[in-house]
Amino acid sequence: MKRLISVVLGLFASAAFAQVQPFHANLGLSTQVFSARGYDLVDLDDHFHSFRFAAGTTFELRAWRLDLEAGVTTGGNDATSHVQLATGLGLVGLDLSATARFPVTAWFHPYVRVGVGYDWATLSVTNPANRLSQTVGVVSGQAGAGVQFTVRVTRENQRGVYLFLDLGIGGVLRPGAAFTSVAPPPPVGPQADPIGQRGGVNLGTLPLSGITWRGIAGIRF
Amino acid sequence: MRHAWLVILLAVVGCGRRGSLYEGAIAPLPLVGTSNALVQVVPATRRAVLVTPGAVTPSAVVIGAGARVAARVPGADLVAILSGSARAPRLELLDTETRELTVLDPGSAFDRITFSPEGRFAVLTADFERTSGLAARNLNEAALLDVPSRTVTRLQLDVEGLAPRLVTFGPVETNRRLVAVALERGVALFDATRPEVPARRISLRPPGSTVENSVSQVLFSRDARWLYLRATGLDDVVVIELGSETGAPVSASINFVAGGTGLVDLELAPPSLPDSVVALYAGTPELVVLDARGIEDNVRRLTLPQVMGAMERLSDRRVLVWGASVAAAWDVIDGRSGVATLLGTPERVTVSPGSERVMLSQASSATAPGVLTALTVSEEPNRLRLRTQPIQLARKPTASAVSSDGETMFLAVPPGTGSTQTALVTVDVRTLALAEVLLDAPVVNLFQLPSSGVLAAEHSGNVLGDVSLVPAGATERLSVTRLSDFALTGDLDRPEDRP
Repeated sequence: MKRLISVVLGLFASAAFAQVQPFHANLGLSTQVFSARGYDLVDLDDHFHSFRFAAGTTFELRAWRLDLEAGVTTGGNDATSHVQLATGLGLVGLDLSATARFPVTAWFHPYVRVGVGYDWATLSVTNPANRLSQTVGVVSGQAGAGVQFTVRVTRENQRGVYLFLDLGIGGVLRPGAAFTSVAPPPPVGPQADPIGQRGGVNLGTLPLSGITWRGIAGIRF
Repeated sequence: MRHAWLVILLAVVGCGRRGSLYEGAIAPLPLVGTSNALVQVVPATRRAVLVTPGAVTPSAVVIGAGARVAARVPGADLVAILSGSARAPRLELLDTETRELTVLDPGSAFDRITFSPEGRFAVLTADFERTSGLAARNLNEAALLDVPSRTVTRLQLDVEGLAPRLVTFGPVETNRRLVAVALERGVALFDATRPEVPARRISLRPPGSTVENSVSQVLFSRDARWLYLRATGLDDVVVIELGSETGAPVSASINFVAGGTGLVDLELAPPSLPDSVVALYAGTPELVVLDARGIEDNVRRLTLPQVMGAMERLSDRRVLVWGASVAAAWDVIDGRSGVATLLGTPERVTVSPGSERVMLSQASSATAPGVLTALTVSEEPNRLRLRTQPIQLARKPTASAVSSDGETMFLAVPPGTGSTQTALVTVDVRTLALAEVLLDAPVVNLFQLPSSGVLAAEHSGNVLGDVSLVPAGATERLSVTRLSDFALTGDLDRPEDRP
């Protein structure tokens, strides 16, 4: 354990001595484009918007910079389906990603990015009589490319603090989310005379793979 | 290259629109019950959803587009579905046990399907009130489905009337099975075992007459020798003597037999009177046994204390009639009769053939307490005695069902004002023992699933489907399973809808 801690501290120290910004945090908007027909149940234009917050660190690999970050994504949308049903999809995800960034100039950094994650997808259907929902978990894999525009906000003789704007596109792959038991919420609290059981509805599988694009603003220091 | 980037940019940012898959309303067809499952046909999703006792999640079978009629095949775990477009109609048979789907070509876009009581044959007919999407349609065309061989034969009725109104199957005979298709102005007769033989067409309108007489009731005698018709605007029973031909159109001799005024119902006479029919008249309140051959000496009459609205056969020799707060039974053979006063006008009448007991449910108004009356007929030397045993119900029943042996009756009874619950009451017809279990929503329909011993109560207020499955006779709510919104089953898996 001590050896592991020493290695990690050594890496951070080497990064600091190399004048590479070891930490960054960012917040932005990402959109996933799902063109599968089943997705039309919960959306009107195939675009699933979500907010993403991430934080991580950076390593210098010769001319490249390697950003490792952990992120949280959350988003949702809703639609009216079958004339009278309010439908919605919510997605909360955790991901780990690695970005290989090449500083062409001090302010222009193209990059490629890969990541893995785990998402909780919640499908809800509300009709005048009932509200049904189910949350399922799916793993995800992401890859993409983009550019970062960087601006230094501190003087040269001070520790570097940078603001950056990240624009990227890519793709996300997930196994379809199987909503096999969409059901009303169970009753809360003790029931005086409950019925035996309440069944659910097997709506099928919602494809959640597609193209992604994102716009992120962040700080690196 | 510049255009390629533009295409990618548009795909990512600007494109994407909703298809039409989820824009139509979910409008499922009425539930159909077989012995082992409830089936809900959902035209919008092209699914037949199977609600099966023991499965807490219903499953679905993909069917053709444009489903508009679903009906159970009697005596089998089969559901027949009329689907397809007007130019490409389909008849689908879904086996609810194996989930196998058989698709047949009915030849034309039909709107109704009528099965023989044992489920061997069905006649497909068009509905004059319904538009098919075609510019022109021959409503005189019908089709015969032979269920065991899964074959459909088109029939040209070629009669004067526009569209069939009633389809009635005759009794099972060794060498033929007659079918009567009633139309506005007459009836067409054909042999279901030989659909290639042209139908016999019988017009009710005398030559030169312009009077419209629509057939409203059709009754075959037990030996298929007679066909009795009740028609609007006619006090006479139309009696058609049928020949015994096979392989040729059935010969028919028409006669009009008078008995009284205001003919409202017909029933078969006892087997010992094979050439007679029992007629109920409202103008002259009486029951009359009419001889089909017109022999006046064979006519028997029972004058009723007041106008009666309907008639039911109690046993081979007795009939029951009822009207406003009164019921009467008549032994057609020996002439004995009896009358009972009821607490209201019966709305549902259930005859238990084994015990000659009749269950009548009635209510004087929509909000008044209901009454279930068990009526038992017993014999006295010179009359029939009608004994009534009223059972108080909190409200008028909203649905009822009877077990196949007629020994158990199920009623859905709202317990009281302001309550959203409904009691499912089980009545043992012989002992009048009662059991009830409370369900959480109003009930509009009851189905028996005898293979699993389960009763399915369909609740109102949810277009996507809502049923409670209750073991028959259960009194514990813990035995109840509620399934709702199952019309959405498979809504996300729509590969068959890909353009």
